[in-house]
Amino acid sequence: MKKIFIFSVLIAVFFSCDYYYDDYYYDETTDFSKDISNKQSFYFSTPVALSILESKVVNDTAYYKVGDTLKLSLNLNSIYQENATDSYNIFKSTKATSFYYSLHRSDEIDSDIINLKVIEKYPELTSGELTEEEIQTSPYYKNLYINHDNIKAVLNTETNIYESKIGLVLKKPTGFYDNYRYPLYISTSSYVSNDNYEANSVIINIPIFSSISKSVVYINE
Amino acid sequence: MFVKKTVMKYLIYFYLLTCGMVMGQNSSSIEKPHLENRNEIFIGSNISRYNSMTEIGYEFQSSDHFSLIASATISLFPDDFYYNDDLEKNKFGLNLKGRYYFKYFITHSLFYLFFDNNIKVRHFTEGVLGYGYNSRMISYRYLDNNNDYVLDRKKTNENNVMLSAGVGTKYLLDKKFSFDYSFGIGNHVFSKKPDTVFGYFKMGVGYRF
Repeated sequence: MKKIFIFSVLIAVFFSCDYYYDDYYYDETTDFSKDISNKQSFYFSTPVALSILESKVVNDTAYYKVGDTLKLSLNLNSIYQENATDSYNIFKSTKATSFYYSLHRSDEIDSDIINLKVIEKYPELTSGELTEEEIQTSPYYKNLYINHDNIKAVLNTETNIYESKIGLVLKKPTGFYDNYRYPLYISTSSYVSNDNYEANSVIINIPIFSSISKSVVYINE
Repeated sequence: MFVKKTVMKYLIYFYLLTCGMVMGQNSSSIEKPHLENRNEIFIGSNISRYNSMTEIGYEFQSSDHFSLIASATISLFPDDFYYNDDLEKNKFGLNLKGRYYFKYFITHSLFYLFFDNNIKVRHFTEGVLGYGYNSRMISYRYLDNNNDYVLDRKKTNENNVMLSAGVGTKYLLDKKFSFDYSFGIGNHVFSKKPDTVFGYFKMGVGYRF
């Protein structure tokens, strides 16, 4: 009896010893040829890009005035093409109307992040027609500035694209020199993801191809 | 991230309990015959990576060192408790356990405040063969009308057979009542799922007759 018991314990230990750490490499691309039943977060491999709009860049050097806006855009199609063969309907999968990412900038250039869609709708906010006080009391003002940790790409139902249009309003650097080349480095979070943690929802993480590296020279008016 | 929050909470409780008991143990030579009652019914909670369930069972002490246990488990928590943390809910389960008790010793323990001062401590090792009828949320993908993949989640029921082994301690508080806890590691057998290893922690009170 004693021998059988010890033997059964050893067998149990033996069965317990093969262990997989799949989930812990959190940014490993999901392999859909394997069993996905125990995954809630999915990581894709084909990146989307954060690009500069209306750039004033010449030979990797951007020429801006203090107060100018560097415009950036991210477009994520709701039918997402993965690996040139498969396409995923990420809107049907997530039911999410927005995807989130964060943005980081080099310290040398101070800037505010604004929502360009608000500016497009209400151009009087930056046209100079309003005083500083009028701007701050405007009902649209609270939607104008964006926290760098929580930038939304919102679904445009006509085009079926998650769109994010943001602007960096460049402030005067603390150590300001004429004709000095300030390094500008913009990076994002590794992924753009839907922010939904309900048990019956999947979380989709799509990499963002984004490291914008330029020199900025401030030009006098 | 590695250990779910709810499980972590119970592990901390367990750690504090264990520390308290070890520090409270002082050997004594006074003995009382606690092993006369060889039958025991017990109720307890059984927490594992996949489940958190209530366990009711019967233990038969076949000799001074061996005992056999049959128990049933059921979960009393609502579905959301499990699915929101991506855990598996035990709808119903059965366990067969064999225990080997090491030589007992008498101690004053933390229970001294509530019971007499001759508490018999029996460390043991156990092997468990378990069956579970469980439900959980699983992910899957399908092709929609436009030949695009859609990812989705649904609730499924599964039959699992589990084999586990562990160690623990039983405190015979007096002739009638006992308290025990055990912990160990186990795995699903006959399962094709890649990641089925679980740890468990069990705690319960028993009535002996």
